[in-house]
Amino acid sequence: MNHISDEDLALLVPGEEPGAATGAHLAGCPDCRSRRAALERMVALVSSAERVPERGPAYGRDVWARVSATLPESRRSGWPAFLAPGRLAFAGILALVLVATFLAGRFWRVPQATPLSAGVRERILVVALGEHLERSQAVLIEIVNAPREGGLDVTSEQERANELLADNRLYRQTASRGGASSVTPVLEELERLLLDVARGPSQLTPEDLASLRQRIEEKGVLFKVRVIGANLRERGELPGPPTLERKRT
Amino acid sequence: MVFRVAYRMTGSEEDAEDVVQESFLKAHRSFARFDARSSFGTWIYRIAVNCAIDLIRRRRQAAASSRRMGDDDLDPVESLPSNSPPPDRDALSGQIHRSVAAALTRLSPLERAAFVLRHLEGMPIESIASVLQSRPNAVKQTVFRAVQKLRRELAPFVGAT
Repeated sequence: MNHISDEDLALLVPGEEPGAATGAHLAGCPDCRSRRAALERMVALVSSAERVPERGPAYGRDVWARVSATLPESRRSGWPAFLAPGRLAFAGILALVLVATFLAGRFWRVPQATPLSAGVRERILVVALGEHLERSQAVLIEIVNAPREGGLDVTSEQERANELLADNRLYRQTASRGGASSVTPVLEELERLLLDVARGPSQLTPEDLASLRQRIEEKGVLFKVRVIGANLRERGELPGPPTLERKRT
Repeated sequence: MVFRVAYRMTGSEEDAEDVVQESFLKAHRSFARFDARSSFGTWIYRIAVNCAIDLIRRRRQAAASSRRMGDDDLDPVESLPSNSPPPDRDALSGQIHRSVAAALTRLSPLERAAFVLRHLEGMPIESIASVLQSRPNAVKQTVFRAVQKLRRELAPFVGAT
């Protein structure tokens, strides 16, 4: 009987199904099971001795605050210039103008007779998108920071997600037409999450919450939204993010 | 997730915090180059693991140069920051903790990364290869070397448990 080699044994992780041949061998070979058990004891020893200190729910926000504080002033060159006029295709510019005009009418009272310059339109869009991302971020943070035990009433988050959805769709389409390849996927991911929050149950079970939280964390949506929001804030000189308060049930 | 890996790689809360901050700073700077089709998790893991490896190497170089300067009594394991067991823990627990810390310190940074990702994070070999920008077979060998070293170092405790 060929036993499992030390090399193969060293790769076996508790809880993970080994290959069919390895599994069959382990089932019938006490020696190899014993060697595997010794390996698992060693890993358990390392894992228990190196217990990771807990981090609170606000940890991500704290890290981001520290990172934001250390960002150099001259980092604009790293930004793909989603709204830089030189990089926008004609269709993008057209879409930009349409959206900016729409948003200008929505957020500010602009006299009809006064035409908006391209610079003003761009700035309006930057500010509006920045605000949209801040609001979206607030919804996601409340979900991510919700207590691990117990359910969560997300009625108010659902209402906000519903409002954000329409705006997000508009920004995503604009970004896509403008060729903003870095921004578009983030807005797509954000839209899927907002949709799930808006259309999902208003009372989330711990399992629903864990699943939603996992999706947010796995895709790094919050991080991406923060990066783009920070860039827009710098570009549009927006105020910093507001203090976010969590709602618990 | 990033803090957990950083802590397991460095064995120090303070160093892990530095790694987390540096990782997110680097991620922010290189975000424009992030390919949206690839996994964000793998990308951020890669940055964090590389930051941790760099930090471990810097620490080792500093320790080596401090020994060259005549500070021969300085044991690299003794000098591990914030890893000492709390005074209320029993002696055996303290001894195990110190032995595990010492054993992990004796792994190369790459071996430690491969071991942590495979056995403590449960990551598939292909993903580890992507994080470490290596080939799966090379990763398997690295994990194997790490496991062999740890088994040798920790044999007295594993046998007793």
